[in-house]
Amino acid sequence: MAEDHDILSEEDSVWAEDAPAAVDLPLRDPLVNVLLIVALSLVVTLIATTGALYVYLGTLNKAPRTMTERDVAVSETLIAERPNDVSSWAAVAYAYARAGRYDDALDAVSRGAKLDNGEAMAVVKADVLRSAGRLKEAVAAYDFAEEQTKKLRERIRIEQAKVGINRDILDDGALFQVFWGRALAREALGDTKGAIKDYVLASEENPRQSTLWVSLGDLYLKSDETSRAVEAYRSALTYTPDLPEALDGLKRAEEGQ
Amino acid sequence: MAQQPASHPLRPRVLLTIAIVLLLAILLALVVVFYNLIKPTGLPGGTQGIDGMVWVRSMYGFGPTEDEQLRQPSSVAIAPNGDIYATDPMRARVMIFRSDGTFRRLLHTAGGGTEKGMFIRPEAIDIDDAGDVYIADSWAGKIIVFDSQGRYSREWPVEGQARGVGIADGRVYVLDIGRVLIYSREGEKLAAFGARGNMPGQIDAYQGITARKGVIYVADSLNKRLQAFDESGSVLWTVPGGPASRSGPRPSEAPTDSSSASEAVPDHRWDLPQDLVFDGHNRLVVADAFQFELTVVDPRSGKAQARFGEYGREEGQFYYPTSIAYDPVRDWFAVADTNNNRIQIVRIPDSANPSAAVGWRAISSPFRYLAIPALLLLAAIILGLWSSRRLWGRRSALDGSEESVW
Repeated sequence: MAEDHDILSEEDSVWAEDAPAAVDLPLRDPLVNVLLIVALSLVVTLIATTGALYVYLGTLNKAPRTMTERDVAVSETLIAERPNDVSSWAAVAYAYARAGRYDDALDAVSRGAKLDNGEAMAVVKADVLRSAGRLKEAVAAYDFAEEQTKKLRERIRIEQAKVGINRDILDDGALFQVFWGRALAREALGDTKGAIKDYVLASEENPRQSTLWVSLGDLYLKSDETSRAVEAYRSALTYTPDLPEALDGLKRAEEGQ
Repeated sequence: MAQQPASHPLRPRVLLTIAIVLLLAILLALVVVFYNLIKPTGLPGGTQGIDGMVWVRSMYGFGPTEDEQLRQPSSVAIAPNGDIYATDPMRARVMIFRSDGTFRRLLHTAGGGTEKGMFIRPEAIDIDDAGDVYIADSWAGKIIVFDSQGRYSREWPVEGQARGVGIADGRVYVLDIGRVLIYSREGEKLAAFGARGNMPGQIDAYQGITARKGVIYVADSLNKRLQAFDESGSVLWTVPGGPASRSGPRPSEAPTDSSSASEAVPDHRWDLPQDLVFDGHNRLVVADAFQFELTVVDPRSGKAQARFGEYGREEGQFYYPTSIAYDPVRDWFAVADTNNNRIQIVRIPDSANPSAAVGWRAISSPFRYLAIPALLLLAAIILGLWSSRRLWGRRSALDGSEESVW
């Protein structure tokens, strides 16, 4: 403060000596000067920020930084290498959906469907719609996927019968995926009965999924069907004996009983 | 009386104010663009996982294709300058990243081989205080040393398989499947002990070995236990896995007094302890591949004190964490998250004195670039205030002199 005072005093005296000449010049508004300095500083800041951005962009090597980015990068590479492979389009659709790029995901689905409009892309489309929160459309898409998958199974069965093969179709998990996906969509829509029905169908396709049994148990509990809930949680514990969610659910269900 | 400006006083003020608002809007837009470029896609809701473990970043490789990425990295080490080294055994190479996660370079030996200076399967890695990099090549059965610039320095053959390597107290500790071999840094064999088996004192391990003050700690993976030896091979303690339970208390439930560590997780189950490292508080931190966790252990007793992490593919989760390294300067751990094909940088509570690492934490954040416009703007504001003070001072002085003239 003392220094400032000295400087001002010194300037003051100099100013006073030159006062007649200075008074002739138009004086700029001090606030305008301040605003001018701020504006110029902002211009410098902008230039520096743009420079930093440019340098940063130069150091980026497009290496993924998260699992989502990795999935997108790897599946895009797959598409570039095998553009006529439906599974590549399915992989990139799922990767885009995980990254929240739902429009790109649906675009990938439609491109894949152009190659093969079978049950596989139908399931992918339904899963993508569910991820995007378009639940009613997802349920309809799962219905279509179920129909397609059952048709495919029937077709394979007939072809096998023609050549004398009579055995169960090897389960590829497609129906399980359809039922579980539709159950999740219905649960999110608040359709508890529909969701329970689909969880049951899914458990019939693949009873070894303990998390599915937990979801089913939770819905039974919500519907006050405690004995069925207990049964579902116990089924979960059969496959994963220390699953905390199942243990917790079982405790709640038994308390309810 | 003050002299009036020549032009209308409001016009330049308004124009300048509009210009400033526009410039601020452009600056804000630039910051948003910058932020979105820096912020990775697909981060989970928060970077803080269960029990206070904090995810810092993940490193997958140096490009978008699979060949440019890590494939089941088996080991990780941190150099004195903070660089992170990750072995990529299936492609016979080592990837080196800067501490900010950007790729620095590859350490590879032109396709691998048994010739001098080449490796076939770099299984484990550690780095000494001088920055020399020691790589255990399990297939070639040797330790190969590179300097901090990646130039080949020396190598020596190891009896059996070189599965793990740890540098401590000026010595090189090598883990064969069932034996511990101790070398000087130049490769002179100093001692060896151990035999493969599951009896106390016997070892059946993959790669986890470290030492401090003459005590050698081994993650005895296939025996599901930890063991501590003195340099003659005498067992100091063996902590077997407890009963089959994962329900041991989390750190929030554990006693804070480390002396009661034996009561902290009495039923801790070791499933596949793969690697171990000392943190800044002289605690052992163990990576258990089959528990998908990092477990903090009291090195005096081997008792588990706290557990961090969970199974998953998201950032901050693990899928077979097989190796761990600690950076005391930045107070973070690098974890080889093998089946997620990445190296993760994480922090766990109480691993170092937080105040010592605050500066480094800020500097090593990927968001540090955002500080540039903020600092420049701050400088502009300070400059503006300083100038206005001077100008108002001048103005007042001039007004005073004019008034006296009038």
